[in-house]
Amino acid sequence: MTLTRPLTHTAAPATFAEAAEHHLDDVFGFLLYLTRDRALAEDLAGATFEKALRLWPRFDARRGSARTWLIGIARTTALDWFRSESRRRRREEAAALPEAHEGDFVEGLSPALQQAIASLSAGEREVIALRVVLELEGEQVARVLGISPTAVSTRLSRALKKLEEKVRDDELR
Amino acid sequence: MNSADLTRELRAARPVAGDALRERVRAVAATQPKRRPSPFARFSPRRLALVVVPAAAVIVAAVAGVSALVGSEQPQRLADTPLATESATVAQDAAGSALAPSAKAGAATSETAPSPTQDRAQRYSAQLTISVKDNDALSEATQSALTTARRLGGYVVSVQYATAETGAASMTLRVPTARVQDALVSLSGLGTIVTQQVQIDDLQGQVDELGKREAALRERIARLSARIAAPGLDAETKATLVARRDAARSELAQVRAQSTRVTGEARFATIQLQLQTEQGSAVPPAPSRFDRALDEAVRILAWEATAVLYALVIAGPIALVALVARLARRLVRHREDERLLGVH
Repeated sequence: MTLTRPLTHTAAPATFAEAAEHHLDDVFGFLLYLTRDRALAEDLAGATFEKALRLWPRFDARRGSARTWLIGIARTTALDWFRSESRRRRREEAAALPEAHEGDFVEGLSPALQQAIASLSAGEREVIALRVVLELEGEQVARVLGISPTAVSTRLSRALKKLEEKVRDDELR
Repeated sequence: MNSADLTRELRAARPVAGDALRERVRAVAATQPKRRPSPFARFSPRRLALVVVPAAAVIVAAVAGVSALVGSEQPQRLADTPLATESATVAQDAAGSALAPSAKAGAATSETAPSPTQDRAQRYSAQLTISVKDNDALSEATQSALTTARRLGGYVVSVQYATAETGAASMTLRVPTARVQDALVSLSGLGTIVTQQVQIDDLQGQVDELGKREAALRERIARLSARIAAPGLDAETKATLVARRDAARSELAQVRAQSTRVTGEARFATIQLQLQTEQGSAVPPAPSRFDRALDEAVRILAWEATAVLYALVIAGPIALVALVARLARRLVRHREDERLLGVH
């Protein structure tokens, strides 16, 4: 069976397996942009679906799509990991987030864009991942991030501008 | 490169999960239990509260309603039972003194009053309070009561009658004991019986005793008269016997008077009748079953509301602290998340 990700998915999945098949790439892509670490993103994606399976009986399609619900769980899972990692590394580093390796974390991107994305904060990367890469609606992103749609627009605008400047700087060099 | 180019490139390079991760997720999904989840599993605490709170309110109201309906039946049974029991007691103790009060306003009729025993001398006293509609009805009822007493061969001992905004009449009637039931039936038809009390004192013992004494005295007088009339009696003895006979005659007169009085008491029953207009009624009309049920329901609801209020007073501050703590924790967590994500 070929796992193809629908660009828009409005129908509620009948089973958890169906939801997982449809939205695996979205969850993974989001985690990849957030962590900049492919291996870590895969681990967190696995943990996300394990957690989602436990919470599946409480999923209500009327309150939101399975896609945003799964991405929300993925974000919580990632933040939990960041939190525990931050505690573990607090004595060693001042920075809260662990530094990902500098290699390409998204296949198919130009090196300039890859570097520019790496220079963004995790908060900026997640809004780009959700709004640009996964093409979620502003309302859906706001729900996942727990902020207002206006804040999402502002955050996205800043991130894109920063990304644009970074790429331009890199091209000029 | 502008934003549109960036967007295009980012979307073109959309990440795809690797086969290993795909298999892992499939394995996770395969562990989903086949059974249908509990219907309650889909309910969040907030949605559960939306169902539970109205359901609890309905249950509380239902309990109050059912309890009120059940409770409203009890006073009726309690009111009826003693009345019947006391009437029976009177019937059984007709030889002695008996009291038969009718406590339930408007429920008793003169038909429930004990009747005198026909072949025994008894002092029969009845107290009757009757409510009439207004002063006009009071006047008619008073006249009717007096007429009734006379029609049955009785007489009126006393009458007091007064009217203002409310009216009242008080009278003492004496009717032949043999017709007292007729009198009570007639009088109870004048209005609504508020209270009724009947007292029966048995006088047959006194009558029998007086009869014996009278017979003994008559016999003694006859003996003394025979001795006095006997020839050869000296003057001193004769004077003594005459004195004894006179004393016996005097005593006989007293006994006969006493006997007449007792017999008279037994022959006529005394009825003390109180007539009053409804506004002046001291005893309020008995509430209907619906009113009793309503009162009971209100009482139970008040009790339940008090219990809920106590629970809120105790649990309210705790719930408030818990809510504030939860909101604070959420805020702190949100700030921590933003710090972790490098926002701001």
